[in-house]
Amino acid sequence: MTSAGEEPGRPNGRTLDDTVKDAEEYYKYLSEKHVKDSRVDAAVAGLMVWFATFAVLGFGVITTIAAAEVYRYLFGAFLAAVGIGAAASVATYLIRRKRGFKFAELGGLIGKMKQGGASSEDGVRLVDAMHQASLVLKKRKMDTAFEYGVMAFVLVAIIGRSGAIGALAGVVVYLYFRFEALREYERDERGYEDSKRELLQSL
Amino acid sequence: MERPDLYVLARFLDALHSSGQPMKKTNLQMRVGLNYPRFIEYLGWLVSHGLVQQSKDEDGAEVYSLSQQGLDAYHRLVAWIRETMKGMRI
Repeated sequence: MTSAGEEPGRPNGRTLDDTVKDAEEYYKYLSEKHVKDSRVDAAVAGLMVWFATFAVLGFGVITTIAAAEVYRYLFGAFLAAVGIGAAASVATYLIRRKRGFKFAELGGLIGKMKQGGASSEDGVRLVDAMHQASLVLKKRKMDTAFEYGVMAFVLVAIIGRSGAIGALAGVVVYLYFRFEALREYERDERGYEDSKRELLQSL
Repeated sequence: MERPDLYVLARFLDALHSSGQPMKKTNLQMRVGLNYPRFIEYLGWLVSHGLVQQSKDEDGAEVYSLSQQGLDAYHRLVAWIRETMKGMRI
């Protein structure tokens, strides 16, 4: 596809092919970042859930079990926390991997465009696919809200010595960060749709 | 047609731009790959918005080409693609 400044049918040599190259770099960046973030988030989620579980179960053991049996029960709580933490980690990773199909779509489109000249229709499709892929990264912030919530729960539960107050703090922190992330996500989505609408109206 | 599909409009603009010369209806329809009623609907929209102009070739057959406004629209589309892609960079 040709660009501004030429007559129809007489391309001036400047093409949208360079945007395909840019898109490919962007795709590689997004894919690598997605894989790296997925691993980090899975590890963080696993660690936090393990810690929260162990803190709650361990605290329960200390306050309810007789002193002679505490270590045995604490070890049991530790093992249970490891199991639950590992399950949370795997679940987080799988959920993240599932979101990666948006990247596969983008990769497929770039591959197709690299084979032939890029038309402006391909360009619009590419922009749509890139937008969808970038939203996947923005969704990550919603997951981070959960991690913040768990962190707040653990800290407040330990400092305040109350699971109920900890849970309340965790929920409040989670809802706040989720709300902020959702607002940013919706703003980006609306901005993109508005720009498409404006383009259509300007044609 | 209330809100035409941007993909389809881009396909029309691309086809007429890359051809560089007026196209017959049949050729244009084949290039954009739409069924006839849908094709006529889009062609009508493009003509009514002044993006495509109709003329006759030496045999008297109807041919269609991009108007100056259509060429501008095509350039705006390309510019939008470039700018939007730039804006997406993290």
